[in-house]
Amino acid sequence: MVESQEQGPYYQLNDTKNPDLLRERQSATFDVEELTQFVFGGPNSYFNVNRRRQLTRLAYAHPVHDTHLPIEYLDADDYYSVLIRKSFIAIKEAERYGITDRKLLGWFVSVFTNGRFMFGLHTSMFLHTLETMASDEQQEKFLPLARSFQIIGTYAQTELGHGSNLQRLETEAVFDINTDTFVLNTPTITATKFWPGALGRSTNYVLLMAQLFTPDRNHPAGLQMFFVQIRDLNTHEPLPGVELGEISTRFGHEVGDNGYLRLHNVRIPRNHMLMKLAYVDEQGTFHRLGDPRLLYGTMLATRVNLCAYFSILLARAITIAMRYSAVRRQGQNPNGKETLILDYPLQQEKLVPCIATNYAFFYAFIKLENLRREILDSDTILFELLPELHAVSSGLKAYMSSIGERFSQTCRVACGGHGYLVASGIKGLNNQLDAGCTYEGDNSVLYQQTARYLLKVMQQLDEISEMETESSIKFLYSTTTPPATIINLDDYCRLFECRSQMLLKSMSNRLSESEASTYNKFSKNSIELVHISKAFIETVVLRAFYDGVRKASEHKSFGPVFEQLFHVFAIHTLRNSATDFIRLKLLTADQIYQLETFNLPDMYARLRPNLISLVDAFDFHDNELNSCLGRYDGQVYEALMERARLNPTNRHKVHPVWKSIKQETKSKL
Amino acid sequence: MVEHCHTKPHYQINDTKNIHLLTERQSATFDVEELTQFMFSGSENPFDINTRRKLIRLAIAHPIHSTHLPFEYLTADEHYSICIRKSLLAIQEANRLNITNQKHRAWFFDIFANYYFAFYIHTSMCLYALENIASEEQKQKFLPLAQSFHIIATYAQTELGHGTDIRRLETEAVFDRTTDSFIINTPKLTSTKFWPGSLGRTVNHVLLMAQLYTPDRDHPCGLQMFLVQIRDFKTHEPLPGVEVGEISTRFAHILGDNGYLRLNNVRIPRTQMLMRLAQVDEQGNFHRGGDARLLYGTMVHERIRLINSFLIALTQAITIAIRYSAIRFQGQNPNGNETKILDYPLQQEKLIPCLSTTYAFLITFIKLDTYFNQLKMNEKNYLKQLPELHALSAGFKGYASSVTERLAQICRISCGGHGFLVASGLVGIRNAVDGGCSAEGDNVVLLQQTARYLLKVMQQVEENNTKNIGSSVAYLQMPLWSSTTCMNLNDYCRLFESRSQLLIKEIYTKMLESSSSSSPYDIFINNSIQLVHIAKAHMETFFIRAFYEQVGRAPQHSTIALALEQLFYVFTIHTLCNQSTDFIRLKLLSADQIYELETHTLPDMYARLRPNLVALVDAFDLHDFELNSCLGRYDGQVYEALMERARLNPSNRHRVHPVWLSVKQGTLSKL
Repeated sequence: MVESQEQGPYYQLNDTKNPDLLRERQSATFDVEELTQFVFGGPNSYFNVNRRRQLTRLAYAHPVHDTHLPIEYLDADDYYSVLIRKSFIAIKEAERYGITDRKLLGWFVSVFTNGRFMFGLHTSMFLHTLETMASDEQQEKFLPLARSFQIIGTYAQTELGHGSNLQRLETEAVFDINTDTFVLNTPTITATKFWPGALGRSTNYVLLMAQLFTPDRNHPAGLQMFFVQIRDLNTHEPLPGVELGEISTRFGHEVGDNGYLRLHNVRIPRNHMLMKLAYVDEQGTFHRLGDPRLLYGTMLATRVNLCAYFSILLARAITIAMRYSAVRRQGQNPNGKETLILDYPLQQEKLVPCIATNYAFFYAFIKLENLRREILDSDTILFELLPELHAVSSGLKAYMSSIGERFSQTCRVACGGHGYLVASGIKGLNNQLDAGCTYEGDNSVLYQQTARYLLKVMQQLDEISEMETESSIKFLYSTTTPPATIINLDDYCRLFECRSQMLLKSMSNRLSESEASTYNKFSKNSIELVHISKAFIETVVLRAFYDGVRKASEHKSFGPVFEQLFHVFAIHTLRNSATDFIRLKLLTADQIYQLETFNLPDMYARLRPNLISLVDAFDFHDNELNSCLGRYDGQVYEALMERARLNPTNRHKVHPVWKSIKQETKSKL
Repeated sequence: MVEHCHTKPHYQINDTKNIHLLTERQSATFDVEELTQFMFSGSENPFDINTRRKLIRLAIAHPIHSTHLPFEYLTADEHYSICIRKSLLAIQEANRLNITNQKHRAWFFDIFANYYFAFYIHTSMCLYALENIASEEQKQKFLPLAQSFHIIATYAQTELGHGTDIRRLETEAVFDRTTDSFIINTPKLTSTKFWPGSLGRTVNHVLLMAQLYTPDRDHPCGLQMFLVQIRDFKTHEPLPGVEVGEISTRFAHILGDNGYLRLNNVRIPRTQMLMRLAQVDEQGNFHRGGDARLLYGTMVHERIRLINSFLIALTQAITIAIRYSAIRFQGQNPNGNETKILDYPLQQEKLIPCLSTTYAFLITFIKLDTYFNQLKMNEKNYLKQLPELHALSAGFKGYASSVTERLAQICRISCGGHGFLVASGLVGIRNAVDGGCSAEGDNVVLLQQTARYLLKVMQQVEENNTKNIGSSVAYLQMPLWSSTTCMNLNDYCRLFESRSQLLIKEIYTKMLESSSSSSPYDIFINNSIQLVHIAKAHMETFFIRAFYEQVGRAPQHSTIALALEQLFYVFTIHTLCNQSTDFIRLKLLSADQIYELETHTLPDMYARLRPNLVALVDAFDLHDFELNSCLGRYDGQVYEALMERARLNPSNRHRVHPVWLSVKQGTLSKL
């Protein structure tokens, strides 16, 4: 049934209703669909756009989507109910259509629920963790229940008092030899599990991260994961000893159903500790098995997926802002006509670097995903490459979320007041990117991990002679000479590589000369270490984009457009770190001034006719964007007015509070 | 009654319950109250802290505040009802307490209604506009009604299709001689009034900005302001010909009650066009009278009010982030202890520039506001200085709202996940300041207006015609700074002034050179990116100079002077590093010097300021009621507050959410 669905783009040129937007589309110098296929097409592509289109069409065809108001008009309870309903229907529909591949299934349920699938943590982290960390026996017992959604779980790690620093978690599991059970407690207020998604009202099980004590209270054995039932499977009521609920209101993930959990002497059988990597025997003796690095796998895969997710979020924001800028007019030119805001250099200065960066992000992600496949999808995990994957994925996650957050905010500002409506779609994207700066590792912490890895590499430079040609750190091993002038695109890459290498070398030297303890050295230099990580990640992104541009050069129509985007990304990134390049004598201040004040606006002008097509190529469905400003057809004002009239508060001619005020006044008279 | 309230700080050190926060407060090198008084006291000071304290005490003492759940737990309708009730009550209370000074009333209303005073556009802009743009006769008729809240109005300018560019507004008022009235219409979809605050459900009148046609449809006379009734006084129902409602959901001003308004042949008497600056007579003849520059004055006034509101938001954000960073621990040091996150250089790198910017903005604001108020006393001087005031207030708003938005976001990130809760207080703050980037003129548009002014002054300087040059631009005719190292505070001021002067001169010359080949419009557009840049450079110069003057006012060699000096260095170096290319290219500093400042001087200042960080935010003396933050409470009981707030979530009143009851009964699919 999926196969029979239409695979073509969602929209055709003549779906455009706004004449200005139509003119933009007609001015493109390349075929949009050709570009879409080039970047996102093919069954081996992570994005597999044709298949995705089929799934999206199926998902949106369901009648449930017409049964509720736009979600900003629902109160918290209705909102939650709609999402639970949709999430269950999504699962059923996916079964009916025989969608089994995990990635495709993930897309389907996410599109079906407007990006708010309630059991996302269950289907990703929870199942994945059971598969990798439960013993065979445990898998046999629990997995069928979990796969059929009788058990619905989440991952309970973060506590009120501790997030990034796992070692300090306070929830405890004490082995009791008499009953062959663990006794679980959240002994302090700060030990309360706080934030886990879907915990508040939805899940009946958690994978609980807790400090194990065995054979008794006096013997700490470190963090372990426990499989803990928290609600009754029949009544959904919390079990005895379990206090749980939703935490207070969030932005971004209002409906992530983030919860809190307090446990008071809750007992679970000994075999509910996940036992593939370590186990406790009947005497309470603790044994380690397996390679704990397996744990990394899940974390790394999650981080890689986040990079795709952030790229898509930003792509939505820039699609909305760009299309709206091609509809909105403001100010008067000397002919007495109003100017399209996309024609203002100041608007281009906001949006063109954003679209260029967005394409760079997609290429950086594709490169990262290839690295992940190579390392994790082979028969045996390539442990020796794990550190590189860890360093690059950490750095990219931090870079993309923080840059994406800023750019999505720029998109908001670029849309003026209307960007401020939930119905613009941008605010939600900005909130999600903002959240991305914190979850799965605070960005500052992640950057420092990347820096640690890079410094280690610097210290081993002499020892390694051969290098994987595809490695992201290859450039650190060669002596790159800085280009005297920027002539071709590779010169930009070399500039960035030189800068990164020089920064790393001087830091490496400084650290080895210092007599301080490792801890103090790192702490004292942490600001610069983060800077060095960013410089490295910029190099990686630029090189990945460069590879994309080279591939694109075979296509006459959009090859030059890719080069222009590359210039914009490179110069924009470079000017933001201008001091580095000047201080390291890679460029002069005058050169940078030239690049910024002449080359950059020149590139904006060249890209101008293709700006709309470049966002059209992301091929978002209007329902995915859920934006009055970013609609394909450009009927912005009609949509804004319609959405305003839908506001449930307008059902009152006079708001009830005024009725009672007017009556009170009367009664006093 | 106000007089009886005491003016002491809201909290004393022994109100601190968290031991780490106590340590911080004990480590301060100066007396917090002394700094508060130095910065914010005096009736001339826009913050007039001692009066404000009294008003806050009175406002929060009212029992209504304990009658509702935290705002994030109310539905949209409940939220609105409470805000209206509180706003009406606030007015009653202010009258009862005999609070008459307009500024004091505004503070009282704001605090009483948790910063959601439902009639703030009425009390600020509309009353101000009536006072300044209505004729004497109109004032006599309408002002008493408006002052007593019989008439409640808002300012209806922005339309669906046009905001910043008001010349293009499409709402029209056509004079009809036979009935001596104006016929008002929003003829197109895009002419729908869209966004005005309090319009959706609240006001019964609007001050309507519309294109006037008189004596008939064929004679456009430009934009005028009309007082139009839209709802019935008794029933509050919309009048015939009026379609009015709330627009779709916003972030930040959820409660601003932003509305839309469509008018279909609504008639108002001729006398309801505001007639101080222009008049229409019975024959429909249009006359101009009065000084139109007064309109600018309204804008400057409104902008200053808006800047004030960001600054309060910024003080709140940094207070929350610094206090939370003093009680949150993370990571392990070699002694096996956890580290206070405020001790991490990376956390300091986030928060100290933010703190120093807060002080810089506050100081500059106090200077600008005082200047504005002094000028207002003398109308002739005032009109003469309006262009400078306009440029400064536009530039300040444009610069400070973007920066404040970014800093508020940094504060959010520095609080980690908990910063993402509405209960952190940061979410609302950030949304409010984000709104400020677009409200009252888009930032890049405003900065271009500042740039236009600078170019004009540069021309005067070039033509040696600088008799009346404003004090904020006097540096444009001074010799360039020629030292090679930054030694003292004044050197930094001179450094920024020289950069700004060189940049303005450079672009001025460039534009002059191209004037033979391009039109002024094209030249301006083509250089707009750089014009915004010079406007920012000028504002930075202005901030730094104001900061310098304030440091000089502190008692010499006092610990307060020292702390302010350190903040000055942080603000200046941080700003400088963000614009390093300018300084290097203009040969004012070398790249190595900047690297030195950034990697040595700046962290060194962080270390020196470290013992005073909490005291420096305590000096803003914000009441917990104002902060409304689980993370920023004075006592530091953060985790208790977070847990309590979570338990209050109305969703937790169900042991099992209703939707799950239907899941379990198998009736879900039938819903």
